[in-house]
Amino acid sequence: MQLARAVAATVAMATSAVLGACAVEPAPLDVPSPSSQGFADRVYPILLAQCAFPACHGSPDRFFAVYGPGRTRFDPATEPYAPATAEELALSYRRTTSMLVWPDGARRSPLLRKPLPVEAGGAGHEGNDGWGQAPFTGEDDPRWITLATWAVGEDGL
Amino acid sequence: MSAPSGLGRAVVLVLVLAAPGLARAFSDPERYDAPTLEGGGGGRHFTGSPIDGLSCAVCHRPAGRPELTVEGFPTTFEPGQRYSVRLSWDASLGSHALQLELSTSAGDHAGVTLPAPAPAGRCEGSATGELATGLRTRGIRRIVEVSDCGASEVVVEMLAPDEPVLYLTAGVVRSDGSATPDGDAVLELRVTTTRAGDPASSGGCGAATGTAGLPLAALVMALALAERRRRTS
Repeated sequence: MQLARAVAATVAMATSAVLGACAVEPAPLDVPSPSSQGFADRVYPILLAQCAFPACHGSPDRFFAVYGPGRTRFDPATEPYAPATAEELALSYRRTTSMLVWPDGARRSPLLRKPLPVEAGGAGHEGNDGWGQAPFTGEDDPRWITLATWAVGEDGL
Repeated sequence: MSAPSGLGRAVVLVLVLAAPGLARAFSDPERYDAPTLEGGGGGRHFTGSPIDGLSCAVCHRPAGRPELTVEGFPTTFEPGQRYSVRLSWDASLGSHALQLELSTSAGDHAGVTLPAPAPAGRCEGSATGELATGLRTRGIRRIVEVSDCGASEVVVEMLAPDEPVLYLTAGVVRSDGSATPDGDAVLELRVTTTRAGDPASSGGCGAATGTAGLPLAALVMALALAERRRRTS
């Protein structure tokens, strides 16, 4: 009987702890907002070339998704090779900036760490090529530098 | 075929692949050199070569069980020797498109030329059909293309350079004719050959049906190893 009461009390405490935790308002996320023009001019072409293939980050199943010409179109009615629509640019920008959310800042964020080789400070990336090569060679890769300077707002735009 | 006996033993590989398939708008080789903002590949040709490691599987998801036969690619090669490499497939199952390279580890082409095709290398397999095959030179690369117009083979000549390892890589898509992303069969082919007299490397034949192929293979191997350990313990 004592055991049953002890178990019941423990369950009650655990339940209230869980409910209490759920009741806490999550802190609002501070999503970085680097230049949308810099994204369109400099970053988006790199993402189209390196990430946005339909079976990769052109898939609507992926959180980080990039849409555009010659890749997956956000609106299937869009001509395959028509220029990127405003909607595609806006959505790709939002998904990309969301990938910059990280406790230690944008330079440590998934957008900048996942496409690097692990030995170059990368965080691991399932979608490396058939030779195990990450999308960028390292922090000295000009394409990565373009992403990084944009991400931290140092691209002058 | 000019492969020397004992060294250039013809390699015949029959690759049977489980494949699913997803193609999207990005499938026209004419667009591979175009800027990405115009829907192009930005110079990617999706051969899966050492310097163009992405293959057709980044756009197409495998569906089906295509077979591809590779003949004439030697297990070891003699520098300066000419080899005739033939890839063939069953065109009655659907039109196949290929992007192919024979290259060094640095990505230089391996003395690649494209002889005039036999009827099987022409559209619809017809002696009067249009050429199904083409050769694009892009810097150090030579990319062999096969259009999806009903050909059933491509023959490529290779003048082997003096390199430790050479690679045959190809992205192969067999269309289901639906003009949709789904239903295409996909093959990523990678075969290596080593210079005669060099220590054996870890080369050989490899093929995957998509980017998930390797992790799945690793999982199967790990499970098999675990089972073997369980039985022996």
